[in-house]
Parts: sequence; structure tokens; C-alpha cells
Amino acid sequence: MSDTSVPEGFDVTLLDENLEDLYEHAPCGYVSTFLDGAFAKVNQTFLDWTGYQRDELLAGKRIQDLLTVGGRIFYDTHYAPLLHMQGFVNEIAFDLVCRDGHHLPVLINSVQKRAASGTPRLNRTTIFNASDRRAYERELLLARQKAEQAADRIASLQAVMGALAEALTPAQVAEVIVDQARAAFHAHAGLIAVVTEDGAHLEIVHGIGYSAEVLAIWQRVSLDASIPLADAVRSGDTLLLESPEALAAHYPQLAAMPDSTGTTGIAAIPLGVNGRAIGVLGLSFATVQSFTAEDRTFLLTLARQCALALERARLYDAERVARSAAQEAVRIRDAFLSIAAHELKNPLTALLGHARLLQRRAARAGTQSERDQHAIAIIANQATRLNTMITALLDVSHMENGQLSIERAPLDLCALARRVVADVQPTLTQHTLMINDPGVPLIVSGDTMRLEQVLQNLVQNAIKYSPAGGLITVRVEQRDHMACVAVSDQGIGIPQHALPQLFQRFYRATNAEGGGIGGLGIGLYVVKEIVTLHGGTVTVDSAEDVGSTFTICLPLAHVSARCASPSAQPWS
Amino acid sequence: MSVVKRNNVKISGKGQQPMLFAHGFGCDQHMWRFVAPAFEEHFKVILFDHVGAGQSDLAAYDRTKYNSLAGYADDVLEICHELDIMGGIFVGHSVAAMIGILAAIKEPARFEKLILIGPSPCYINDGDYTGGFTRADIESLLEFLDSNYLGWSSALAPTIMGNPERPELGAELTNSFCRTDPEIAKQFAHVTFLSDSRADLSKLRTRSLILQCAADAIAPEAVGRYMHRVLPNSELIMLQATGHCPNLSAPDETIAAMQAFVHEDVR
Repeated sequence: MSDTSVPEGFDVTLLDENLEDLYEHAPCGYVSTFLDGAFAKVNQTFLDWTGYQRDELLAGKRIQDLLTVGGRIFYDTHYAPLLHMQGFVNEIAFDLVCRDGHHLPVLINSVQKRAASGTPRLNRTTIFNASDRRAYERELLLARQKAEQAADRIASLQAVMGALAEALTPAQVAEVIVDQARAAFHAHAGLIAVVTEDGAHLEIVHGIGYSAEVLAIWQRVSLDASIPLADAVRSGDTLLLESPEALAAHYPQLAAMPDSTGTTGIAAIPLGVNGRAIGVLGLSFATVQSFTAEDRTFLLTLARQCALALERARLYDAERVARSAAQEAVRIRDAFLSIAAHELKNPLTALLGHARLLQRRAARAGTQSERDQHAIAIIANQATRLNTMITALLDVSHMENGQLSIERAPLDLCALARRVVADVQPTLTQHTLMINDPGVPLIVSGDTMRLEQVLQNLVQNAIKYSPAGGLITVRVEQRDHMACVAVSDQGIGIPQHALPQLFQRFYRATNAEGGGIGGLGIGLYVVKEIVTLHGGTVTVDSAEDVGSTFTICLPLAHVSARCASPSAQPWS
Repeated sequence: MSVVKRNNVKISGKGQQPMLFAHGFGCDQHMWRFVAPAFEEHFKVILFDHVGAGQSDLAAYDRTKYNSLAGYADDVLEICHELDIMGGIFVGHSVAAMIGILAAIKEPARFEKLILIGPSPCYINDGDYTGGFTRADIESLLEFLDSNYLGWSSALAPTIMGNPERPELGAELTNSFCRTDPEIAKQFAHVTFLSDSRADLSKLRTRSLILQCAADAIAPEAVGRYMHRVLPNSELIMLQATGHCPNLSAPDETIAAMQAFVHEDVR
């Protein structure tokens, strides 16, 4: 000690006392032990904490003796070896058992003091009170466990979503949910039961972990039964019976269950869709449960997913049944159409043949009155009309069966359009028919007969759906690599809502039906089928009471020589 | 994965006869650092870490396999197969003593002698048998491992730090002695302290030496005497050393007792 730093008259022994005081009353415990752990020296703080007298500890007690049994084993198997090998150990958490029996959480740090030769001589240990720290650690641990559980649950829900996306039947849906719920809650058995169609029973869709005997008994039970599954469905509330006691209190008749099946707890969660329970998820536990708020939320989420998926599976099933019934009905109708058309055609051919024969004979003989000739002409015309309709019906049935064949050859769409216009023109009385073409041949590769049918249908439609007469325009033109024919009228038009269905078989727009305009609803269907088979498109542009334009476009084969007669040419 | 890599097997020594050292619950092959070198002159010294401990391959840890001591005994035999050990000497500390006994019963030709340091066939008292612990004690240990998880697992996590007291150990060794995965340590504690291999003892034909410490809380003297009584070909030496790890606290005394046993019929 330097004299200059000590005030005159200062008693230097005070400093030694101070050091001693610091040792004894430091905010941590100081303990020196011999190599076997026996106490050699302890400070007052340690004595205050543990409640021991100095003499008691120095009379041969070892530091291990103040640890819990678990701590002592850990001391012998980890702490002491580490101290031997490493020379020090830091911050190991132990509980000190105090003289009155209470436990004091501490952190222990030791250093092994050795002789110059390396021989260990003494262990010096510093002990910190870790009551607060241990409490924080426990909370941290709990928080971490909670977070891990939450992460597990999210992963589990994602797995459920993925698996449900592939589950199509109620049984598959039930399997996914039961598996996940059992895994998440360590349930030894689980099932899903749904309310039957009559609304009076519960029927198990999928159950696992139960004996065949139990499944057989519960396979179908009355919804009025006083059992957890039925009660949950009726009340719409989740039922959690976490212990044998709770089970016995609510369902005395099931009290024997824990002994017979090993079940000590039950959860029954209703599966609700639109506020109505369509079934129930049941879980059975072999250990006493304690459901947290998170557990309940997770169960409800699972149940909700399950209910939606079950409902979806049910709708899917119903839709599949309905669709297959509809397909069967269509198939029967098509078969009937085909047979009926054939059966009608035979007598009609005979009728038409004889009517024409009669016409020719009468014309040669010149004996029939004008009235009779007119009557025969009507018979022949109407028979022809009937024949056309039946042929169209047959076409439809062929198209449906994929039997309509196209025989392609190069043809000039301009020329074809002009011919159709020329054919129709003489029959018109109150319409004006105009063709407008580019003056060059537009060659497409197509079936002349079928494409003529297409143009005929479009022109006849234009006539039919403009009952008040007016202008009908046939415009032929090239658009990029397509040859297009647009037929426009000034007729009744087509309601906007009818446009999407217009090309469907047997479809008729409401204003056509209501306007007393007859038809089978197959003309446009045939147009669309034929054009599509040619690799072309049909479009419609229409406004009610203004008129319609139907445009077909076909791929050009090639473009060459000019059309015979350019310019627009009115026909009227 | 080779067994050598899986169990971090280290081989040294000039001798021919293999001497396999197995560590117990807690720590790893470094437990033998003060003892094993004494045998390098006359033996082929083989050290290893149980899977889950030290520098073993943690990926090889299989909760089902290592749910009983038999899984660890199989590993010992796998090491024997890979290194072609026949007529060796097995040295097992603590629970590894039982692991060695199980291995020697299964394939007696592998070891000529067993040295069992602080062995116990059953840690829990059972009727007349004194294992040293009640079942509640062992549950207290498991609870300790659970509740003090942060306290001990972070302290035992391998971190590099200098050791001012023993600079000669080098920084890289520091704190790797008891390197352990907490979850694995917990299962190992379960398997070790809840095991009961008493029924196996009488099946052992291999000669054995039991080294019993004074004041060993883990394997009390009564257990050592029980082992000696039940094991057919055993010798018992009571050491002066106290505690559970004479290989660390009293290496000289431990070595001397072992030397006498392994050399007694050396040619």
C-alpha cells in the first residue's frame, strides 16, 4: 500500500476488513470446495440463502448434498467431469435445496484451482440467485413451445388443405380430417359421422382406432340418442369431456367406457355449413386432456374445413349423378331422332315421288284444272319442305355422332355466294337481296354442297327473321387470310342474353318463339358445325329490332384470278 | 456412413490386442484422456463416441434403435465387425459397462476381458435390491433435464473459448467434452436410468473386473458388490477414489488397477 494514497491517520486494517466484508456480503454466494465437493469455505450470503449454519456445512457436507436428486446426477455425470477436463464450468442452472426444504434456483460457475504441476487442488464456485431468470426462462420456454405448436398447426392445416383439394368423396375427406386431428391431439381413435338424408340418423363415414365391434355398434345411430356425437350435432356446440370424471358426469351410461376401451376423454365437434350441422368429428383420448383456447380454435378450424369439404364432395357427387342422367337422356333423344328421321324419310320419299309423277303426267295430259294443279304443287312443295327438315335433323344426329363427313375441293366462295343468291332471289316477294363481292375469286378448300347449305341457311334465316321485309345484304370479302361472307338483315334481331346459346342445338331465341316464327333450332347449329369442320369461324352481331349480321370466315386456299364480274349488283 | 465415422472412432497405440473404451452418460470419449494413453504402449487403443454424443454423426441417431441399451450394444459390435476385433478388452464407464456386458453376451468371442468402472445393472431400488435411487428420483432427473433445459443445454452447447487455466488443452477442445443434443441427452437419460439389466448378468461368461469408487452416488458400493456376486467370472476392486468418475478424479489409481488385470496373463 502506497503511503501517499492513504490519508494521514487512516487505519489500513479497515481495507482488509472491507475486503472480508465484500467476500461475506457480496450479492452472490462464494463457495470453495475440496475436489470431492466437500465445503472448505463459504460466505455469509450463501449461508443466508440456504439457511445453513457455517459449521453444519464445513463439517463434511458436500455441495452435491445441497442439490436436488436430478441435479446431483447431472453434477456427477456432466458438471464434475467437465470441471476436471476443462478446468472451469460456467452458468449451469441448478436448484439448491435449502435447509428448510425449499428450492432456490441458482446459476453455478466453478473454476478449478491447480498447483503449478497441474494437480487440481480446490474448486472455487460462484453462485448467482436465478429465481427471476428461471421464471423468465420458463415463460420463454412456454412461449417457444406455443410458437412451435402454432407453427405445427399451421403446417397441419396446410397439409389438410392440400389433401382436401384431392379428396373427392366424403370418405376421402373424412380420412384426411380424422388423420390430421388424431395426429395433432394424440387421439387414439377418431371418426367422422354425417347426418343421413332423412335427417334422423348419424352414419359413420370413416373411423379409425376403434375395434370393429365398436364401429359396428355406432355405424348408424339415431340423432335423438343421448350420446356425445348426437348431442353435438343437435346443439351445434363443441363437446369436450377431458377426463373420465367429466365423461361419467355427463354420460353416466358411458361411465364404463374408460375401462372397456381405454378411452378417458372425448371431443365431439359439430361440422357446420350455413349454420346447420351436417355431421360431427369425434375424437377419443387415452390420456386426460386439457384443451387450451388455441386447441379449441384449431379444432373448430379443422371442423369448418371438414364441413366445407364434405359439402363440396356431396354437391360434386350430386352433380355427377345429375350430369350422367342428363347425358343419358340426350343419348336416348338422339337415338330417337335418328331413327324417327329415317322412318319418316321412307314414306315421304314415296309421297314426293308420286306427287311429282302426278304433276308431270298432268302437265303432259293438260287435263287437270288449275285448282287441282295448284293443290298438287302444294303437296309437292310441302313434301319437299318436310324432306329438307328431315335431312337437317339427320345431319344433326350425324354431327352429334361425329359422322358428318366433309369432302374438300378448291371452290370459289364468291361464285358460290352468287349462285345461292341467284337461287333464292326468284322466291322473294317482299325482300330486297343484294350481293356485294370484291370482284376476285376467294378460293377455299371446302365441300361445295355443305357450304351451299351454310349460305342457304344464313340467307333463309335472314328472310325468316325479317318478317316485315327489308334489305338483305350478302357481303363477300377477304379479311387477312380468310374469306368471309356476311349476311345482314333488318329483322327482329336477337336479344343480347340469347347470343351465347345461339349456336346450340335446338336453341331458339325468345323473340323468335314469341313472334310466331317457326323452326327447329338447328339451322345455326348446322352452320357452326360445318364451318368449324372447315377450320372456320361464325360470329354474330345483332341488335333487337335493328337486325342481325352473321359472318362466316373460312381459311383461304390461295388467291388468284379476278372474279368474273366486279362491282356490287342489286337483285330485286 | 461407415461405423468409424458414425461413432467417431479414434485408434492409437503400438500394441496388437485391441482395447475398446466406451464412455457413459454425459460427455464423450474425452472421459478417457487421462487413462487411455497409459495403455498405448502395449495395446491398440480404440476410443469412440456413442451416437448422439461428442462428435458422432447426429444424423445417425434413431429414436427407436437407441430406445434401449441393446441398440448401443449393437453399435459396439458393429465397431468390432468393422475393425475385426476378436479377443479384445472392453473398458466401459457407468452405463457403458452394461452396454459392454450385453455386447459380450451376444458375441462372446469379441472380448477376452471386460473392465467395468462404476457399473450398475439397475439404478432404481427394487425390493431387496438397492440401486441407489427411487423412481421418483429418476423422474426428478428427467424433470431437471426438462425444466432446466435452457440452463444446461446452452451451457453444454459447443462454443469455442479459451481456457486460461489449462492453455495446453487448446481452444478447439474446450467445451466440446460434453457436447450433446438436449433431446438426445434426455432420451439417453431415460434409457440409462430406467434400464434394468439384472436378468442379463448371469448370462455373461467373459472375465470381468469391477472398479468400485467410494461415495459414488450414481453407482453405490452395494451395487458394485451385487454385480460381483451375480457376475460369474468377476473380480471387484474397491478404489480409494470418490465420486463417479475415477478415470478423471483419480486416473493413476484407476490405471494401476486396470494394468494389474490386463497384464496378469500377458505372455
